[in-house]
Amino acid sequence: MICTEVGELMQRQLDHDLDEQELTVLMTHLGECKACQSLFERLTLLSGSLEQLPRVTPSISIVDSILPELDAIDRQRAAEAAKPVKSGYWKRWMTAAASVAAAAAVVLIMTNLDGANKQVSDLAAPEMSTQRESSDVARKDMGIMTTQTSSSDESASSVEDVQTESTVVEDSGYSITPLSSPIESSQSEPKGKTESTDHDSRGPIDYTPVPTSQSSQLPQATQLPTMNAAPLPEVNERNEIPDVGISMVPQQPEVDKELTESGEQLEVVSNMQNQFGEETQKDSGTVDEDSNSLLGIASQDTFVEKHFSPDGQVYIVLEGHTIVLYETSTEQQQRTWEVEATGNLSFVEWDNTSSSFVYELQAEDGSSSLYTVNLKD
Amino acid sequence: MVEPTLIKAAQSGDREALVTLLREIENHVYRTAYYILNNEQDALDASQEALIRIYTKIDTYEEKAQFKTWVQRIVTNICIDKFRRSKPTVSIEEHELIFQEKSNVEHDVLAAFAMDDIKQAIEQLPEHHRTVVILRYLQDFSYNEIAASLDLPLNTVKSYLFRARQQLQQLLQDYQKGGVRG
Repeated sequence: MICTEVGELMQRQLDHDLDEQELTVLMTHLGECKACQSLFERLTLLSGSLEQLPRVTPSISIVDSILPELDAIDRQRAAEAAKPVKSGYWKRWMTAAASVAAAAAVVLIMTNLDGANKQVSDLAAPEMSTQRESSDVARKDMGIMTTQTSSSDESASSVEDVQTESTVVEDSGYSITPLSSPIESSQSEPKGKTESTDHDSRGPIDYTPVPTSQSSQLPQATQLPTMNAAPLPEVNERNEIPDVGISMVPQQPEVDKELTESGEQLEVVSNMQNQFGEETQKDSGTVDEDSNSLLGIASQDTFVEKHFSPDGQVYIVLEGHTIVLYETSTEQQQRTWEVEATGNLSFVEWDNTSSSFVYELQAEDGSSSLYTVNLKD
Repeated sequence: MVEPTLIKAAQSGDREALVTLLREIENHVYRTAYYILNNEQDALDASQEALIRIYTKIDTYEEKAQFKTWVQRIVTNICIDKFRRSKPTVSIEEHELIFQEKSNVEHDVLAAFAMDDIKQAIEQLPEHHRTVVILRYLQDFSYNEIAASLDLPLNTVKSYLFRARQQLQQLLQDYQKGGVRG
C-alpha cells in the first residue's frame, strides 16, 4: 500500500465514508507507517476543530431588516401587474391549477352567454379575483380597452380573449338572482371601517372583490401585496388592516348579479366611478382624471359593495331593487326588502346602534328621497 | 429542516409563510456568509441579499432539489461574487479586524488563538475550497449535498475538500512551528 493511496482513505474516514474493508486497510497501514499515522492524527485534530467552529448567528434579525425592502418588492410587483404590458409576473403566479380553473370559468361563462340574453361584461379568472389582481380587474372594468396582462399560458390567453370580446355590453335590466350560497372566501372579510376619504355622509363601505372562483384556496387576500398598488398610504399597513377595505364612492350603483347553474358564482356589480378605479388610473397613467364621464359608458367591475353595520355583525348589499341583509359571520342572507319604485338606489348610512339604516332612492326625474329601514320592523 | 408544506405555501404566494420560511433559514444563510467572507458586516449584507433573492425567486425552486442545498447555492454564489469584487480592501480590513479581536480577548487567549488559527487558515484557501469546507463543517452537508449546492461533480467536491484539509493542516502546522503569533 502506497502512502498516497492511503491519503484518500484517511480523508474519507474523516467524513465517515469508509466501509469495513477500507477501514481495515487504512488501520493496517497506519500501524506500519509512522508518517501516515502522524498525518492522520493532525487531520483528525483539524477535522475535530472544524466541527467545533462556532455556529455564529447574526447580531440582528436579518429578516426584520429586509421587511421594508420586501414590501417594496411587493409594491413593485403589484404595480407591474397593473400595467397593461405583458410580463413574466402572471406566469409566475398563475399556477397550473388556476389555469385549469380559468379554463373552466371560461366554459361556464360561454354557456352563460349563450343561455341568457345578455352579456357579462367582465370575467375574472379564478386567481384574478384575488386582491392581488384586483387593481387590474378594476382598471380594465372601468372601460379602458387595454389588453389584459396575462401569462403565456394558453388558458389564461383564452380568458383574455373572452374578456376583450365581451367588455362593453351592460345589462340594463334588473335581473336579480339572489345569492343562493355564501361566498366562502370572503367570510373573513371586513368587519371594520374603511379609510374613506371623501364620503363622510355614508356609512362604512367595504368593497370586496367578488371571489368568482375557488379563491378560498389561495392565501388570504390581506397577505397579498397588491394592495400596495393603490397609492393610499394607509393601505400599506397590511398586517394591521385585516379587511383591506378599498374605499369607493358609488355614484350610480347598479347591481347585476349572475349565477351560473353549476354553482360557480359570478357577480358583476357596476359602479360607474369609484375611488379605487380613479386611483388606479392615476397610478397606471392610462386615463385622464376628467375622463370619468367616458368611464361611465361601459364600466363594470367585480366588486360587491358591502355596507357593514357599525357592530360588524351584518351588512347590506344592494342588488338592483332588492336590499339584502347578510350576516357577516356566515354570509347568509337574513332579510330582503324589495323596493317597488323605480329609480336608483343607494345606501346612505347605518345608525350607530346597528339597528337601522338609511337608503336613498333617486327617481328618474332627479328627485331623491331618503328612507329609513329598521331591522326590527 | 424546513417543512415542505411551508415551502409549498410560500410558493403559492402566501407571504406570511414565505417570511416564516426566511426566518427559519436566516441563521444558516448567515453562518455560511460569515465564514466565506470572514467579516460580520459583509456577512449581513450578503445574507440580506440572499434572503431577498430567495423571496423573489421562491417560485423557481423545484422539489427535485433539496431546499437547503438550493438555499446554500444562492448564498454561496452571492458570497463568492462579493468576495471577488471586494477582495483587495477586505483583506486589509480583515487583518485589522483580527488584530483587534486578539487584543480584546486576552483572557481567552488560548482558545481564541486556536480558533483564530483555523479561521486564518481557512482564509488562505481558494474560494471554492473554502466554500466546500464551510458546507461540510458548518452546514453538515454530505458530499452529494455539497455537489448539489455548488453545482460541481461529486469527485470535484471530494478533491476540493481533501485538498483543503491537507492545506489547512499544513498551514496550522506552519503556524505552530513558525510561531506566527508572537
